[in-house]
Amino acid sequence: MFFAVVPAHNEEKRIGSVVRSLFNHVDKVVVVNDGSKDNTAIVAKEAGATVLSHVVNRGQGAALETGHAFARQHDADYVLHFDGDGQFDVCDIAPALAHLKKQKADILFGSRYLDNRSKIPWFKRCVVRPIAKYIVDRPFTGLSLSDSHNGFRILTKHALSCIHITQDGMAHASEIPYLTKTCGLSYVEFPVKVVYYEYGQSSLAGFKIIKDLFVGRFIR
Amino acid sequence: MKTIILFQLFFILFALFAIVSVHKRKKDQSLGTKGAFFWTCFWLCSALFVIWPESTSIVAEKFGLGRGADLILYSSVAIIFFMLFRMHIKIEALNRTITKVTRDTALQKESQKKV
Repeated sequence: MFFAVVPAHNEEKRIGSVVRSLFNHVDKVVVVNDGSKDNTAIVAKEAGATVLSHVVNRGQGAALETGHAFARQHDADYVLHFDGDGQFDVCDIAPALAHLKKQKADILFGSRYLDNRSKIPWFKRCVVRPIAKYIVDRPFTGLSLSDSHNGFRILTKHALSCIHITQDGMAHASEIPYLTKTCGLSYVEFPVKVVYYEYGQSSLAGFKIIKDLFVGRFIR
Repeated sequence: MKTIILFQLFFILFALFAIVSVHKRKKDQSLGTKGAFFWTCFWLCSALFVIWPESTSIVAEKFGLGRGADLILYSSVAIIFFMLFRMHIKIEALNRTITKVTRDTALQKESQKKV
């Protein structure tokens, strides 16, 4: 079984089309409605998704881990992480899964920097990315990924059993490569297209990620 | 001089009130033995330093500092930073507990739908 886990917070405008488009590529779509104030849960359910609702907003990392827990309970073979705002292209799913199987890796990381399909804002590409890569990701994760903060990932059952996300916020994107390394999982990167509807995370969010990663090291 | 004496009097009363609060908290088990011991010592020492200000200079000299006021300032800043850090860790741990409860509730609701 191939599960798609879609964290969603106030995404009623786009979640319906995202869920419908995913059904052509995965067996089950799990939308984790992360304390939305709008009709995200209703729209996702009408589109055919299994909806898990957080009563309060806990962050993207927490929502993904809820999806993981559900996938573990239902013995999923592969789990896809896919954003609920429609910024990813579903056409990337099948080739990415084929690549993961071919390489016999445990986890696949999507990357918007491996081809030229994504129109990345220059500030993000030229300033935020190098800082994030060399100051945050390499020291904290120990892996050298071209785009660790890309929400497109595919995990095998083995990776799913090893990776338990504890970072509730956006720092989960650094925690996953860190756990990949510490659990000795094999990984591959794959080019994916990212469409920017909004700018995404603000540059200041990076400081919160560093703080969360630092504090997280002191919690058992 | 009168102001200093009045300040000393108020501080001693406040320290006594704080020590009584610490023991009340220890009694209702919202504070552990170590915590109660630390806070009792803290308020006793504070009262001692206020009653006998020169004593800080004696301790400061042993640490290589000139003035007792400097010793109090440096150690206060260090203690406050340490406590802030600990509080931050505790808040983060509490956040994780809230997330766990939220997750379990979400999963439970979904499994109940199927029954």
